[in-house]
Amino acid sequence: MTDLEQLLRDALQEAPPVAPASPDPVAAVTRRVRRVRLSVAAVTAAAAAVAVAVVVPFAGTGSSGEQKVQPLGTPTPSASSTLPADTTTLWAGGADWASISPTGARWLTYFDKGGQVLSLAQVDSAGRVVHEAKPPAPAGEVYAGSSVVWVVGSDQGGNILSRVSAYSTSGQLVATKTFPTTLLSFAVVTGDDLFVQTGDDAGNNGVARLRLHGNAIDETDVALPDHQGNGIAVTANGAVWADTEKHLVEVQATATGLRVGHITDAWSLHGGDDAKNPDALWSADGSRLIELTPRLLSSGVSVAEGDRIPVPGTPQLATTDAAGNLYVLTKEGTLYAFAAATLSSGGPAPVASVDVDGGAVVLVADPSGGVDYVTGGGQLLRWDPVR
Amino acid sequence: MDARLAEYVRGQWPSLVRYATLLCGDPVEAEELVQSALVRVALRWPFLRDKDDPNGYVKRAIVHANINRWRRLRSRELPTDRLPDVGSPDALAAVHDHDQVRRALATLPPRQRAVLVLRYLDDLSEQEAAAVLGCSVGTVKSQAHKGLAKLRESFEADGVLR
Repeated sequence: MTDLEQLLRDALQEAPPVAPASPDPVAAVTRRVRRVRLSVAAVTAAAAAVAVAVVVPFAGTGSSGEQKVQPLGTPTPSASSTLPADTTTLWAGGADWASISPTGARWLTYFDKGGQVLSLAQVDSAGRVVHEAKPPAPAGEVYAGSSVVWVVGSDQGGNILSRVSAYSTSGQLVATKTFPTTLLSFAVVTGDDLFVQTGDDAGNNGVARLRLHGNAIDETDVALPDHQGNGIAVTANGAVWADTEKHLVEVQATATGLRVGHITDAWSLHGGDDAKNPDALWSADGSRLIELTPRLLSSGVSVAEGDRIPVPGTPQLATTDAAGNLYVLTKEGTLYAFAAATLSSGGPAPVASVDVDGGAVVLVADPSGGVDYVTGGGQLLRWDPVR
Repeated sequence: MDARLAEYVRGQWPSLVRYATLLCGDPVEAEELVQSALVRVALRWPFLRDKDDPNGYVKRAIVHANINRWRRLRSRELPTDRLPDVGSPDALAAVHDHDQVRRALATLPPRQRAVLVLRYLDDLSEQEAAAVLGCSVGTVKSQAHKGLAKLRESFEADGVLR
């Protein structure tokens, strides 16, 4: 070894320790993993390689939002003095996922400090806990139906294991079902049925419909034509569409099960709640949000006859509230509001915007107006800027 | 996150950030590199063979994350054949300040830096370093040679090493 090599070795091996700034790296990484898996944004080349390796569910995103993970104290809601305008804190830290039932009940899942134990809670408009439960692991996302609240989770540690649990609207566990070799990823609920994208080590890609039947969960499956699941959305009229990266595929219920219905060209999928058009899905082309109406396929009309809405960024998630105001979260981490009155004006522009800490993983219309969103920092916030 | 991976992250986080800092030269950027690498590892966790000792896999992910980061940023970086001035009138004393050596290392292109860290911090053989970087042994040799040559050139120019 030369003198220079020895000098270099000594310098490297005697490098002083550093003091990391992240207070809870496990929680930070856990949230980032969840965002990669569950975002319905476009797939980057690098993430696509991961998706191939793990078969289906990890249709990742190039989301580059910086995670700013806060210490996860006892997750009791509290007001913040630094909140953006028109914002209400519904959950102060550790929030993971949120869903609003058709009856307006707000459910969330949240992690304890350390990001390991997940709980389910229903909270009111002031952030007070109405019902609470600890779902059996693995658990993650919550999807609230009219009378059933679903909790979905997948654990990739060692052997693949996924689990779905069904709760009553009073937070009582009714049934739980494990999937020993299936990864469950994106999901939607329509009525009380849960539709979830499935994948396995063999490269199979499909959608499962889970329905609570007494104290058991009935499962019905359909295989999708492509080998990747990028997202799933349901229109206000209850039509379920899955994004396979190459196509949008309709999943239709029949008397005996499920089948693949219409298949469109490749469109990205960014949400299904459009108050103005109950048959619409939200897609995007660059920075334009596009209102798709896949049902038009059956009449030979372009599915993309709907509105084009220019957004100051790349759309990631979109939804409308009951008043028809549109909310669009961009991959750059800004949430924009478009007033309903301007959406048909030919040149709609956002009337308000807010920067989202660490990006958001879920965006749902709040029953009182505006939207609820879970930040990358673990807050559940309500934003209602349109008057 | 799998319990074994979570335990590993908790126990190794400071040392992983230190490792990444040596690779990229910036402790703040290092944390981002480690998080990015761990996200990738977590996504591929079911397919890792040695789940009880993922250290090698994680470090490899950090090395690649740093190289990928450099590729994204290189339009803004201007690699040069000549190191910035590192000497001072009493450079002979200064070069033995290991901090100065680490600063000089941080000015090398990422692949050269990665090879030197793998070889002289991790004590990997040329074959092992090639496996980590996904390149040939010849590339490891040439990158190590170029990196050391640049360090030596700089220090010799300052009269530090002869």
